[in-house]
Amino acid sequence: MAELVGPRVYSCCHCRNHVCLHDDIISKAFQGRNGHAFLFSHAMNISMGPKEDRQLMTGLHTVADIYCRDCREVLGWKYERAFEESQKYKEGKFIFEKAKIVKENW
Amino acid sequence: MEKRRGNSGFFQDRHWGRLGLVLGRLQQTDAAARLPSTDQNAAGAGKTEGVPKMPISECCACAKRNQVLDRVREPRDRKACRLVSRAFARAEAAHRRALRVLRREPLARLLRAFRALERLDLSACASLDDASLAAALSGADLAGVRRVCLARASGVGWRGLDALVAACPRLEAVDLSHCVGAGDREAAALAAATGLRELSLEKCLGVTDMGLAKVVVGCPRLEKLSLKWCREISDIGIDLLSKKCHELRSLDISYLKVGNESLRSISSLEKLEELAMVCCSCIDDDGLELLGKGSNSLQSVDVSRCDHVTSQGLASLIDGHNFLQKLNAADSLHEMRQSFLSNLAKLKDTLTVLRLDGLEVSSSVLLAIGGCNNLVEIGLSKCNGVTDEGISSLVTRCSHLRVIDLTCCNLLTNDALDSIAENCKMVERLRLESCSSISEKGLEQIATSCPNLKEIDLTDCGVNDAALRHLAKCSELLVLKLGLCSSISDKGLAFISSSCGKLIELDLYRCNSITDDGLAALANGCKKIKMLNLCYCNKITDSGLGHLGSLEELTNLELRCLVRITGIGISSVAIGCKNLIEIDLKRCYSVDDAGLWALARYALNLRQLTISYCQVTGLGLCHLLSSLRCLQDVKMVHLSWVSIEGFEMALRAACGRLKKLKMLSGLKSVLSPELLQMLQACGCRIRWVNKPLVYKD
Repeated sequence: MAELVGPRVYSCCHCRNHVCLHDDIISKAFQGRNGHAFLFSHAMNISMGPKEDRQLMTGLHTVADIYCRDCREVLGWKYERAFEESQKYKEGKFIFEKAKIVKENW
Repeated sequence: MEKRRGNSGFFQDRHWGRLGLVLGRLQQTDAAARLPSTDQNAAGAGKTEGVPKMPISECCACAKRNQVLDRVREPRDRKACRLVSRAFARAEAAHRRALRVLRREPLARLLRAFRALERLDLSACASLDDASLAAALSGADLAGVRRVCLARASGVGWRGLDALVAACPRLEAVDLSHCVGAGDREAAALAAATGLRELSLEKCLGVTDMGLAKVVVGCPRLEKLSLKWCREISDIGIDLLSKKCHELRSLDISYLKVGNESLRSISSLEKLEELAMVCCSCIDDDGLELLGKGSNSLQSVDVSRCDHVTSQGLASLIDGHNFLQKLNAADSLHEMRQSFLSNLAKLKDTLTVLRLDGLEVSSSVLLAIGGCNNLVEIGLSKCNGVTDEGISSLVTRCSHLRVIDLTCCNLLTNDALDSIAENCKMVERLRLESCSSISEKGLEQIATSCPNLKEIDLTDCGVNDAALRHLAKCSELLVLKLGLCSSISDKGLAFISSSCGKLIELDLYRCNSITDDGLAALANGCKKIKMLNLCYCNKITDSGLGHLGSLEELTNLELRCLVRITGIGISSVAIGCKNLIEIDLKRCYSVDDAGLWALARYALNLRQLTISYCQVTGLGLCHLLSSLRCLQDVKMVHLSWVSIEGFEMALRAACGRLKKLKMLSGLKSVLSPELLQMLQACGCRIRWVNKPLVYKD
């Protein structure tokens, strides 16, 4: 486990499984289902649900819910496709809800 | 802090006047008999007539002068006293008890000048190393020094510590936290200070059981010890600690890989009152049971983030220690057993602080917690299942609550705020981040009923100007966080600045309706602001920053992605805010070398700077890094206009001073290896990051 002077890690709020890194944050200004959420470029130790089309605040997107691989807690979603040109930058990136992740070791 | 010899009359006049004001203020609060009337007249006259005829220094006896100086606490006022005359400077120097040194060069002179020092803070002393510390200590008389802070002084090693311990025979407290290179040799140096009572080795990554052994044998009178993050320490070290340091009152073993055997050893420390075990993943319920059976007089226990601790373990802990005052189990428990709740009832008279962040709660849990009527602080951040009814049942019986943390409790509505307003009139700190269902109606109740409100966090709550109109009633407000509230406008800021004059911290992260007029109002009404976050408030221009220039107390300023500000705005801030320590200009695309020149010329106290993505060149960067002698932490990712030679020159210029750098990882292979080695040798840590050049917002 790389820790301490290594990267700052976020964990699943339920089972403390490492799921993303602070350095991978692209934006902190997103809205999740229940509040504040962050956009990350990478995620780890997660499993994905089925793809579905959802109408979000910024338009129609194809998203897939992401779950913690250990405890199956829903942590956010992954953008699979965006239908508006201005939203294309989100494709392939992950949304983690602030309420579902905790800072680990920092 | 540099002393100036007040030769010129200019200094004397200005500071006589200031001194007059200070003495006048003291006069009002204290019996007139203490100060001879001649002095007061002389001081008062100084304001308008120039140099007074009868020097104050001759009038006051030394003891009286000390009495006066005892009451002069504000650093600005003390500085004024120093600059009045040589005699006053000497008197102040002889009286001074605490010293915080910012630069290495005057250290020797300062230590010789101040003979009554008790507290010495060298944590911000740029580029302090063993040689300069030892040299400075050798000529000084430091018999009175009791507390020394060397936090983050990564250049100091065992030689410097040897010199320190030898020079300060009465040393009682040393803070060596975050000196990540410190190890057993440094611990051995500190072990020579036999009178040591408080020691912080937090984040001294090199300390092992051997170093700890030396310390506990050499300093048997230790009362407070922090070993947080010293992950080389094992159960053996803790066992020896428990056998030798019987006076220990406070122990921090957070993040260590110690297990239940350590808790067995710790349970024998009879005087132990405070125990912190944050994120000790090798500790579980068995360990807590051992602790529960021990003979400590535990008052405060922190088991946050301990994955293997359950409510059962806490229940057995409480069983043995019915006088617990503070219990922090944030982010560790998954569920709440009845055994814990019934044992909680045993603490109903003593428990004042309870943190259960991250727990799945129900109304019955909150009802049980409500049984602890003396609760002062409750933490329910990110707890699922916190409802209005639950909060109501909690606060109706806990009317003494002062700190309530309900971050991310998104089921709460104005009804919860009404309950809090009705029952907890003494509430001082209220955290409601992401409680998106609350509105100005609930906040109106809070503002009317809770006049003591000092801190409120409304990040991501969608509050509007009407809410701020109500919050303006809280004239004691010190900290106001309104991040992500895009409906806040200048009108709302005008309300706040009209009556919250004590405001120290204001967070307007992404409140993008704020314009320069809002900042004008702030500068007018909230003169004591120290920390201000205006990131992404992209309507702000240079004239807005011009208003900020009148905030003399400003220390931390975050201005990320303010694309309209240029060097002109930066100049106004740098000139006016003389206490500026940190400024964040990431993605301020219009800031160029002119901005850096202004900082280099005026922001002489700057310690932390972020200029990633700014349009600066090597010339500006070089000038900046060579001029600012206190600058320790620089983030400069993607300075695309700076050449490799520019980086080399700039980094070499500041080599001995820099402690933290953040740069694009592509530079790692391009910068010369000897530069990187030199930086590392001087205690600088570099973070190499991979960030995209182009951002979408």
